Amino acid sequence: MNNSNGIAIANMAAGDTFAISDSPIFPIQAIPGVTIANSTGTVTKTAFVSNVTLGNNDQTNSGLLISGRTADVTITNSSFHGLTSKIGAGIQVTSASKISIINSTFVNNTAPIGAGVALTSVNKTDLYTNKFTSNKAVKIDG
Amino acid sequence: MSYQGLNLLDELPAARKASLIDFLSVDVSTLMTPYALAQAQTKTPISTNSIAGIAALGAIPNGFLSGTQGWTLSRNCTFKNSLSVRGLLQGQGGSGSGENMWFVTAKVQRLAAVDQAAFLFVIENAQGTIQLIDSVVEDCLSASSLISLTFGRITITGTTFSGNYAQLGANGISMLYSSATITNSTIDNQRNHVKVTAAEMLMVDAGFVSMDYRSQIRLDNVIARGLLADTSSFIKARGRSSISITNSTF
Repeated sequence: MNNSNGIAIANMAAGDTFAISDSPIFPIQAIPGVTIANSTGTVTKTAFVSNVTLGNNDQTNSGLLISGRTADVTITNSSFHGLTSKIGAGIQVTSASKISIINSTFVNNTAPIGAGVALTSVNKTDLYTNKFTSNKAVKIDG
Repeated sequence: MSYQGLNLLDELPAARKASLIDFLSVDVSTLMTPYALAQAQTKTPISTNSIAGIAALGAIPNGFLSGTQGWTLSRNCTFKNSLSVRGLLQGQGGSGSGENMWFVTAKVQRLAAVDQAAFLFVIENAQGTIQLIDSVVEDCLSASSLISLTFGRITITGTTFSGNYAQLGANGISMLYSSATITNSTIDNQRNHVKVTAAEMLMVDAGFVSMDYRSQIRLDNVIARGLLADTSSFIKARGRSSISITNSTF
């Protein structure tokens, strides 16, 4: 899938779940590759890749943006490469019930805060057997 | 830009070395928007040290993995070959509930910090705690310390620190209004894969721990060797700090 507009999943009904798998998502441009809000589901064997340079108004460019107090997301065997963001280049979580990241890689991502993963107000985060390599935490915005 | 002092690349295979040099040579200005770059250029640089040679950042970037006000368990994760300005983790709790982060069997290798701590930069996290369990931290290079705690708490168990160096402060942990417990762990700086010179080793204030402002540390069954520093080869304590050491070898 060549996606420049992203995927948005929001406010799914209780008991419903989403699943994204085996779906390379690139290039990721001005908006997050995938946005998930208040939903439960899985992201599996998915690559988030970008080499796009940010413009003036590109405040958030995370590969995966998760929000909502009821969000419960499991990311497995996925990769986040070459992403740049103001916060959380690979994955940014602004709030969630539970986040699990398993067997995933974060390589060559850049953000002032959480170049690989930025977590804010997550009740529980599990990181199992992930690799964070050659990421850069440097300033990209004033 | 100059990278004097960051010689950790020398022993790598040529292809890997080339890719890392490319990584470390990134021009920070290319990562900024024109507006942000203009702003940054008007600010006073925080650090112009030679560890990574990146000057005029004028910012407080931190974290390849950041956490705020939550629970994070990291098991069997690897963090390596990465560049930061202030540390791998931001555990900023502020007046909220704090960040609790557990690193279990983590492998931390070859992190470089342009400013302050290469591994953990924890600030205002008195309500939270950081735990480092059965992990390995090696060959990291920091400006002022590997782990920086300000109003923070850390517990380290069964962990090996090997060949980590800082330019100033302490090679290991710097603490302000903080507490640390280290048990069943080894700190060994006989290894010098980052190729810090003897003169550079003597510039650092404390060999492993520098504590001030009512900080507390408890050591039990700790082995420390090969540490060299200007003021104290292991701990430098002041400001009504307290130290408890049992069953340890220096």
